[in-house]
Amino acid sequence: MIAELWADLRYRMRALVHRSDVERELDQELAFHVTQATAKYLALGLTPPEARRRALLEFGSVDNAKEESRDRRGTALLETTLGDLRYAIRSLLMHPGFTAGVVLTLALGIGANTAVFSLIESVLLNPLPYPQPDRIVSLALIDPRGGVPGASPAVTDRDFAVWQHDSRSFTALAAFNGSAAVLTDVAQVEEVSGADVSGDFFTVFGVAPIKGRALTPAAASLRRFEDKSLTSTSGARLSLS
Amino acid sequence: MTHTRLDLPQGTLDLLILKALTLEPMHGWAISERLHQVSKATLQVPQGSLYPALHRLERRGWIKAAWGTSDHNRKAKYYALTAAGRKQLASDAEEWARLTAAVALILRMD
Repeated sequence: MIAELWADLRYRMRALVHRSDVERELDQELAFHVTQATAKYLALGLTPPEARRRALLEFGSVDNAKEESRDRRGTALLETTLGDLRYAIRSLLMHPGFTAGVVLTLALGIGANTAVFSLIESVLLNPLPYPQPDRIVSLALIDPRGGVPGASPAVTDRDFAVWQHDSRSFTALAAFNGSAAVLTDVAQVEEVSGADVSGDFFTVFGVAPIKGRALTPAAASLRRFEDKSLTSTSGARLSLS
Repeated sequence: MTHTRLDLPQGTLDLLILKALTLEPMHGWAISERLHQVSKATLQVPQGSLYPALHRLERRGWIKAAWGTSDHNRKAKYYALTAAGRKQLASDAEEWARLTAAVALILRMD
């Protein structure tokens, strides 16, 4: 069974890779047969043209035999596909303008798709790099009257204090207010993004800062800054500036 | 010079080709002639189907092909039986015997 499959594969490979050789051999093989048949009829006393005619008649259609042999090869599907492919490439090369347009369109389409997907993957699909990321939620206030779409009412210190005091649904609550600062050095000036956070900030995320000390509820008024160069899209590696 | 041609049942041609090759490698023409002679001129192999059959058998690995020179120094493609081919011949021949025996029994009915 395996041997048969292997023989089959080798035969088909040869038919594909050395197609012109195989075709030539087929021609030679059938021509030899007809020649022998002609010789036989010559020996039987027919004239050369008669002998040949008889031989061909007996054989039937040589072209049919060739076609059938080709069918038996088992490469028909692949051969036609390759032929179509070659034809398509030739046609495209003959119309460079059109081809350029197609290639450009495909490139733009594929490029745009890749870019958008990469973005979505990193922003939406990848989990946050914290322990138990599915348990971290963000709270905001909604104005029940509608108000300005996209703008939520500000959460005041007092709101936050009330939530923290009364809520039983959360392990830890922290408040967050984005801010920026300017770092100056002898050589350069850099703007760094950061946040004002409440005491439990590091507890909520379950991480420790890269540099400096973590806040404790007691040291709630200290400010922390994000290291600009380490900002990822989910953004919270912190360093003390 | 007309011959009574018997129509070969499906698949029988393969069996005959394999058998013809048991003694020595032969090219397609020789196979055709041999079958014709041995069957006492009853069997005329339809030559158009001979070569597709040979190629099919070659693809299945039951015969293998090699180019050689014929008696008149012409290039010809010789086919030889492989080991797998011999096994296949044995099983096909047995199956043929059983089939024809069964058919004969039924025909002798009543």
